[in-house]
Amino acid sequence: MDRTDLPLLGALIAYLLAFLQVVVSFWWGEARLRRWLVRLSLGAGLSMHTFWLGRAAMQFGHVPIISTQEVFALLAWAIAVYYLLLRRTHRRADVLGLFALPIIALFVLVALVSTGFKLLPEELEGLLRMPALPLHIGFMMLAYAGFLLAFLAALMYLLQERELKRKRFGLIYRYFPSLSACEALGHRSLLFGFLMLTLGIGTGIILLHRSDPVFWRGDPIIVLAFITWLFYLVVVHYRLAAGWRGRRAAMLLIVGFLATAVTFVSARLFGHIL
Amino acid sequence: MTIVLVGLNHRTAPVEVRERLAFAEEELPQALRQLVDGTTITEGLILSTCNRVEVLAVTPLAEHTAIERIRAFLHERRHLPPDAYEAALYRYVDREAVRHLFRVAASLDSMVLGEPQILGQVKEAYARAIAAGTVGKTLHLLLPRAFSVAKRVRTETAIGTEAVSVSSVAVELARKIFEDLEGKTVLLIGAGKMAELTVRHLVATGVRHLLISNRTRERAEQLAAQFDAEALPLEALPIHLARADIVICSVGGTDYVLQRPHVAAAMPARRNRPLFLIDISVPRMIEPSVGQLENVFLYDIDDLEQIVRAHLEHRRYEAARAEVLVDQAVEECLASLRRMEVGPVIAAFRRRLEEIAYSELERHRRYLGPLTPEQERALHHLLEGIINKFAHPAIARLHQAAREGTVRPEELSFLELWGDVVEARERQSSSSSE
Repeated sequence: MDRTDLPLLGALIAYLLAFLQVVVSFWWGEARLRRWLVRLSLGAGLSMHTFWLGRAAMQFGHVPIISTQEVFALLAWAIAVYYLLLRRTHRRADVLGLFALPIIALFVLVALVSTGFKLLPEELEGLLRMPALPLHIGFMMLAYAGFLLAFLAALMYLLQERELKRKRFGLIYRYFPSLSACEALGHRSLLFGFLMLTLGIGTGIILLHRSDPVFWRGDPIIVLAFITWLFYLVVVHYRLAAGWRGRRAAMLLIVGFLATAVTFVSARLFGHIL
Repeated sequence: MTIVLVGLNHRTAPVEVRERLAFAEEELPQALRQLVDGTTITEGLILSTCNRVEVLAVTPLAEHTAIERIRAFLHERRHLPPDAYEAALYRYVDREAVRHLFRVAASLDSMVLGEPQILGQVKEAYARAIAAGTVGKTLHLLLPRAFSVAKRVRTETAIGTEAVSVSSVAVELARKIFEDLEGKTVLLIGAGKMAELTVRHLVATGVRHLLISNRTRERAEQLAAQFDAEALPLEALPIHLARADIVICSVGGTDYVLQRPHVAAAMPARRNRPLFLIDISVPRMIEPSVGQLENVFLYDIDDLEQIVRAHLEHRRYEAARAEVLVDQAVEECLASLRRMEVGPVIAAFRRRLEEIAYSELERHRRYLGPLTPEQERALHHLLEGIINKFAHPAIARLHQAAREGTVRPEELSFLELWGDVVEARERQSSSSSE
């Protein structure tokens, strides 16, 4: 970490503050002041975060997606953006912050401590300068963020459901949103994630089309991405057409996210850009 | 001035005693006027509910005189042998009396902790005392403070947020499944009292569609007419089950009215949307294994009562937080009371000094001859300076004592007396000089 990372450190502190506020609301009930404080901390964190990413992009002249540091910073940013968006559209999104905010903070922390070193093969230079790339990466990151929150909402659904089934009425019963609210949060995030994934894959195809086929011929990551997309297509279809709800639908969201996470991690492991 | 509170409640006295001591609404005005005689007791209020009878009084005398007076009053009004209730009486003075009043208003002393009715009853008692003319500035300060601390307790702690009756717990559970009950369909099986109460709760929270089914068709139709609902024969239940989101079952009989295959068959038609079943009949009338089905949530009367107990437990925990708010409010209120007590004395004392100084000035004016405005101003400064220097130690001491709560009655009465004596002498001298 050096001086140029100070905005990122500021963002980390702001996210942690937002998390603290959410925890306090969890215990003491949500007051309007606390709601406002969460929004303020989130907004401050996101501004510093965006500033840091913007500067990195200007400095290197491409999307900050190469080094480990950049990847984590960008992922955390997408999750924060989507969480803020969800808070504005669903009044029970606050409790999701209980899980989403630590993840955001963790990713920012990883970005802070990991190296900014990047190995940039010369052939990639051309790809990095393509105008469709920022769009592609933005869509994909937001898709991951959507699927992550859908996963978290599904997790909350299952926890609340277990509490209701076992008739043990503890903290989860008291403070977690109702089943239908968890369901709605998951559904909304799923649709958002799927839309972003579709757009991301669309822009990805344009990129593939225009770049040197040397990089991607036989790339397992592209196959995996399509499988992920097909999987979510089926899930979305059943939800929209057949009105699939409840426990199994929640479990599918969890499986789907894990599959996405595998795609993403393996993409990084094998040194590919997705 | 002393505040005393004498009374008994559901914890100290059984209902046979409480009911004999209770005051009926129509006798309150007369009782209040009898209680407040203007000498031993200057202000008074009677709180009489099914769980408590309490007399709150303000006296200028020592506390035991007032307590004696209240006991005599109860005895006179009720013609009860004192030993019938004497042991159940509690007596609180000043700080403790204020604290008790605040705790009662905040529902910390209630049988069901945090129940909301008591605040209204205290407000009612206050209104009646005002109407009877037995409220003075002390109670006018005290009661609004009690209302505001009660309100704070309600908004800043979770003491009243959770349901503590079986029917309201059912509504709460429904909210944990469906969030919003608007547009949901409720199926009522049986027409028992409890079921009807639960339905009322649900209707109050926005449920619109109601299906009612009962063994006797007439009763179902009668209830259906009352709630603007649809009556169904009991045999048709399995067919209509898929339409319902919430089922309340409270019916007698020997066979399950809803069996596992019925519910299992209804679920695909519901596209696996959750189904909430409440079986408050004993013996149970919904097959218990129905609860194992996916997206089906079945609760019997024991489950609901278990939640009631857990919520009461939680209320006790919240009550501990409320006590802190009450303690804080009690101290603030006592400080205001003391300020209120010394304020007029200080003002009268100063006014008296000023009157003396200026009347002396007027008397000696003729020896001074005509004065320029500057001289006039200098004279005023001179008098004000002397008054301030003279009064300052006494006023400062009183302010400090009021802040710290160490006002000694003899100091107060000395100053009051001093004001009175001077006034009397003044009157005498002015009448003799005329």
